[in-house]
Amino acid sequence: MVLQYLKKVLMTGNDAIARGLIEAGVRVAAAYPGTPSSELLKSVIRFSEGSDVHVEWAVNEKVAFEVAFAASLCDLRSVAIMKHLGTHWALDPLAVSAVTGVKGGLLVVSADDPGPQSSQSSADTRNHAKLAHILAAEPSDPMDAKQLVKHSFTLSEKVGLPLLFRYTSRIAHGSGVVPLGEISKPNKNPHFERDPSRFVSIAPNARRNIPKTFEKLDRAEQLVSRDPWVRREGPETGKLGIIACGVSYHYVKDALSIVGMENEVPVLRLSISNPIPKGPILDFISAVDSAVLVEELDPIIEREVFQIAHLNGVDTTIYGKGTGHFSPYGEYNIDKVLDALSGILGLDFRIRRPRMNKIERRIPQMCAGCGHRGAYISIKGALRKFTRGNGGVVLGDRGCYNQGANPPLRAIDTAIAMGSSIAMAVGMAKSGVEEPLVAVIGDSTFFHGGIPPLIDAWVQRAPVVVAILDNRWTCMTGHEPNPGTGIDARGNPAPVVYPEKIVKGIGIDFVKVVDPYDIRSGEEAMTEALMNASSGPSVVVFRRECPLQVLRSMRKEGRTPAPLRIDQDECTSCLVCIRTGCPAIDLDLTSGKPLIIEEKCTGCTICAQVCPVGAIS
Amino acid sequence: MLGGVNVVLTGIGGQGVVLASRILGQASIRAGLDVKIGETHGLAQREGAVCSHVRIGKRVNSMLIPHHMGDAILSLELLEAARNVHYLKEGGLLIVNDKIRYPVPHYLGEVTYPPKREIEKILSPYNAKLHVIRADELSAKAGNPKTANVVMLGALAQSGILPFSSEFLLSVVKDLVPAKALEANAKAFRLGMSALKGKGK
Repeated sequence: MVLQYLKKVLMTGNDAIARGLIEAGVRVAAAYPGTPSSELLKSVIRFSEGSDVHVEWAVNEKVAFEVAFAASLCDLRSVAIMKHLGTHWALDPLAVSAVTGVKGGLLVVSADDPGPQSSQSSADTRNHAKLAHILAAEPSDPMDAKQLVKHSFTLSEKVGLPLLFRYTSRIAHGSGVVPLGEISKPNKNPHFERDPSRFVSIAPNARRNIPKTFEKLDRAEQLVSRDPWVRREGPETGKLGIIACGVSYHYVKDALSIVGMENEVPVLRLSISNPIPKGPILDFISAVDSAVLVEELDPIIEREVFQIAHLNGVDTTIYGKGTGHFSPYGEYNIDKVLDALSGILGLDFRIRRPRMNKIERRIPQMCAGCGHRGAYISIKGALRKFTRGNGGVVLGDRGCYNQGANPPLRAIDTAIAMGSSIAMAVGMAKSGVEEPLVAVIGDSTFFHGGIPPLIDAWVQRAPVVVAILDNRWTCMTGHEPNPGTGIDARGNPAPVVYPEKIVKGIGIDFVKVVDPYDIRSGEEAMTEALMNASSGPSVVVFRRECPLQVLRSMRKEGRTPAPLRIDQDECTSCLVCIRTGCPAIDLDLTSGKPLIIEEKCTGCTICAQVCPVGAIS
Repeated sequence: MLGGVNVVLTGIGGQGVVLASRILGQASIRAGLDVKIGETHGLAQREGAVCSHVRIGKRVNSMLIPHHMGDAILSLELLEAARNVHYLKEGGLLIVNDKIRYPVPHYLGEVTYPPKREIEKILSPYNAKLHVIRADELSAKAGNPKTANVVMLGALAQSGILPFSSEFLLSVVKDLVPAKALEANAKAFRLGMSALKGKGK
């Protein structure tokens, strides 16, 4: 026997999953960026340099899923990567993939965000696995994540169903020690075997195939009941037993060791959450007087445990969300587990509760030099003049420009989902709202979900102005290229898609492209657009590359931007410059005058343009 | 018992909190220890707060430190120290950079953050071994204003709570920082060490 030395590396969960994908021989990986999953595809790109692995930043998550799904039908291992919100977008074809089945292992890596830390909602996408009737797995830490990815491909192939690999922000951005394994070469021989009875999923075929999906799930249930990823730890029996999955497993282990109960309490660790391994759960709950369910977000496993107990006449008390000991929202931690155990056991395990310090959250701003700042100032200026006051509803979308909702700019009134700005502006217009309606949407968001609602606005003759804030990259999530960037996921040249050409192609006549660093031109274009929007949408594209990307290229060339400065004698302390929310402007608390932080200033001149006394140059 | 060494690192985007925690993580692996890092860095790029929980030990379970069980807090900014001080155990080590960076809305009176004097009050009930360090000034002295995070690591290493020596941690710092900034980082680390020595520990 050869003992292999395994190199151990510190990896984030995203890195670890990427490594698992490469070790498993993934051939196609498609993603749409979204925090906390964005770094995952980047790591796949890094780890697969020079190989045949196809990587792509798809235009949205539905496209990403379909690209990966097609590869799976050609017998290749493939993956679609997205955040939980994107999984909602991919749900339509995902549900069909359970009806048709898959060939090469197919994973949908779905990053949930309990809290949420950086999302507009916080759904538990394990529900999608239930809804679509596919498999689901969830790791508890980065090391687990890498191994479980490999196991997930095997399961997906054995059963013939896609697998939803659900992880969370904590694992995505957290790090742990991960032992590296061998890398498998991906299958290079795609083979699509025509089978219209499966892949043409019209109703008669679907009616025949849906029972097969359930047969597959039954078979999967038998497999996972013997699965090493369903593991029992601690004593055989006990008064209290804990069933935990995902990151909660570790909170349980820590909580038990803090209170010195690690040898008294059996723990059932589940890494497979669909289908639920019924046998091991029945054995476990039968061997304890009461069982505690610890899982973040929805009581997906808890409900099944209730059902298993009920159907088998087991009268074990089941604690969890149903009994109010755990919350169905928010991120868990060791403290929350200790609180719940205190309540359940009638003991006080809580660590002396320190005084929580109420400090307001640090309000994020758009970066120094961000073109969106100029665009918002122009939009607000135009609306102020057009309505002779503070009229106008500004419907926002999803991206960096969300920071525009924060003080001091307070420039948008809504932020819902990808593409919602335009569709909701149509809705308000058609509801009879008489104020001017402006939809603000970024370039990547426009490509992702903004085009169908813009067609709707045109066909419905909706009197709205659409401002496309085009900074050439998908910046909010970490500067991924999008169809407007001109490079692909590996940095090779790609065709550039210009939003204004799409707008013109729809038939919309009023389209202007302006530079958001030029406040006056932006305001003029917006005013004109508002005047032209009486019987249909008009569009203004604010185009200026993200300053972080510009700085990056400048640095490569050994150049640095020329910062502006404020003439302290000219300055009247009116603070109009600070009201732009630029993080490169600080206030000197002794003199009461603003100062430009040189190393942060990009020299965009927006503050100089708004300064009423011309003190900034 | 929670076990191991548990350190919370905090600051704001751009201060190098993430790199500092990765250096601790890398050092732990090299010392043959298990390590986990829990990182919260939403919107760090956009003036947001950053917080890392670093847990080092023979075997580490979760990536988070429970309230009041941290052995040390290392904060590159005062507001963030105050926000996270409840992670510190009674009598724990609290090393803070003497810097306060108010978010823009504070200056316009739209959102109010505590003044420095009040922050001192917030930090006081933990009986902490408090060390206030001028890490920004020291980093400038080291020749690179971006090395304040490494100044703080030097101070942490000097405190003696880590399961490896200062020289060992410094060697990891040297391996992980960009080559052209190596000298400044090494200097910053040593300045951090002497800053703690100078506090009459």
